[in-house]
Amino acid sequence: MRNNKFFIGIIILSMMMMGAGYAAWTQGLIVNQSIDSGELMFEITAGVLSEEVVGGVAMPEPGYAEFDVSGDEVAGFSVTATDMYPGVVDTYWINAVNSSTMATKVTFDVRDLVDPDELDAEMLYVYTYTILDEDGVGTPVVNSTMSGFVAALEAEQIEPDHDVYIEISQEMPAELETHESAIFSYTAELTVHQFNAVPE
Amino acid sequence: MRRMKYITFIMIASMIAIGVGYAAWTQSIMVTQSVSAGELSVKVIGYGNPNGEMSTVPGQETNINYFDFIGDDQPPYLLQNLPCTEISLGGLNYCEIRTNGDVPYVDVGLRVPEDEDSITIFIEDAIPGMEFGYDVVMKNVGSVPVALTNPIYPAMYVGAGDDPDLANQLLEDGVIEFIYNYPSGAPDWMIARPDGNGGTIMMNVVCRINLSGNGEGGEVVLPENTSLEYEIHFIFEQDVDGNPGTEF
Repeated sequence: MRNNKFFIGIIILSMMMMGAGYAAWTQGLIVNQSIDSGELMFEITAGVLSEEVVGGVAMPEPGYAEFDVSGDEVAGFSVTATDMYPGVVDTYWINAVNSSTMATKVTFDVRDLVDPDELDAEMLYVYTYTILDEDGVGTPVVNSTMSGFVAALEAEQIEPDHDVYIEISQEMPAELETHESAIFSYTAELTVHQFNAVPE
Repeated sequence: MRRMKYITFIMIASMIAIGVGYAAWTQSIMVTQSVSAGELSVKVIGYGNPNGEMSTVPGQETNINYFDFIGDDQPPYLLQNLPCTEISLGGLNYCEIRTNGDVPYVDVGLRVPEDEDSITIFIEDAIPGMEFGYDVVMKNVGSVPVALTNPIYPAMYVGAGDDPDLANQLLEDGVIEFIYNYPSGAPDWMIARPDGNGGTIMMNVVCRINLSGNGEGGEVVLPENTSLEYEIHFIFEQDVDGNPGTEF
């Protein structure tokens, strides 16, 4: 009996000295998860490419018609052609650089004063876009209608550092009866989406 | 007689001098009890398969699992045979495994320090609508059996990052989700016994960034150019007798 007390005393004393508790042990394994998000950014510029009369003749200076592209990517661009007359061809360009960290897709919301197809019928439009890679190489895609142009470009996936270069040429045809003092106008809003989140 | 008294006195004096008493004999036995504590220790040893012991060694190739963009029509990218590169950060050496262009637009990877008791998962240029799954193989390198519950309920903390409040909000609103899985058919408790067969536990973790949240937090989305940090603690318990688990 004495010996038992002696051993228990030794054990308790040993455990007290080494600081061991009775609770079960646990260990935490730590996983640090860091997430750095990317960026969606397009840099858009626009300008006048040419103004001429049918046949490639340059518009005399000062011309009878005025053609201008103004604005910036924040405020939006305004393309105005005033005093056009049959035979005049205006061409402007828009360049959009995908400076995002991811691929993107674009959608257009065309708000019309004139239905796009009707506009295409009254005026002769040539819509050309080219997806340019990092080396500036790409194949032009040409459409004669706005709806065809929009559908084709909305299907494109634009990789980072690739450009979308657009040329839109508008001609008041000489052989069609057009309306003097008529106004043809529309607003096209371009929205950039990350490639896997394009609304239906 | 006088001589006898003298001899008796001399004998008693001698016995006193040599330390022998008259009392009944006794004997003392000293017992020295030493208690050496065991160790509960779990280390990360690799990814992708339970036998991936070498995958945290520089130069070795390993599998992470997969990466997927939610909402596109493409199959997931399988993250296989990625080399482990030794890097140095803050005076510590790490085995770093990263995709390096195997996944477009986003770079993901894992980093394990030399002491192998933590993991850093990183996603660079993350976008809404993505999912990253990784398998982690952990080994019981201690001396006592350890157990982890199934399903897993880790403790979760928001780290420093750019905006801890936002990081927490994104979690609450379900924009960022973490999902923890064992291999299918795993028991309620995953037990790893020290050494020998069954000394490892493999776990799959999925980090998902949804395009939108559960709606409870309004329009909270993952912002651009933001760094978020989360700390996940997996708590391994000492396995005790009667634990309703199965060795794995």
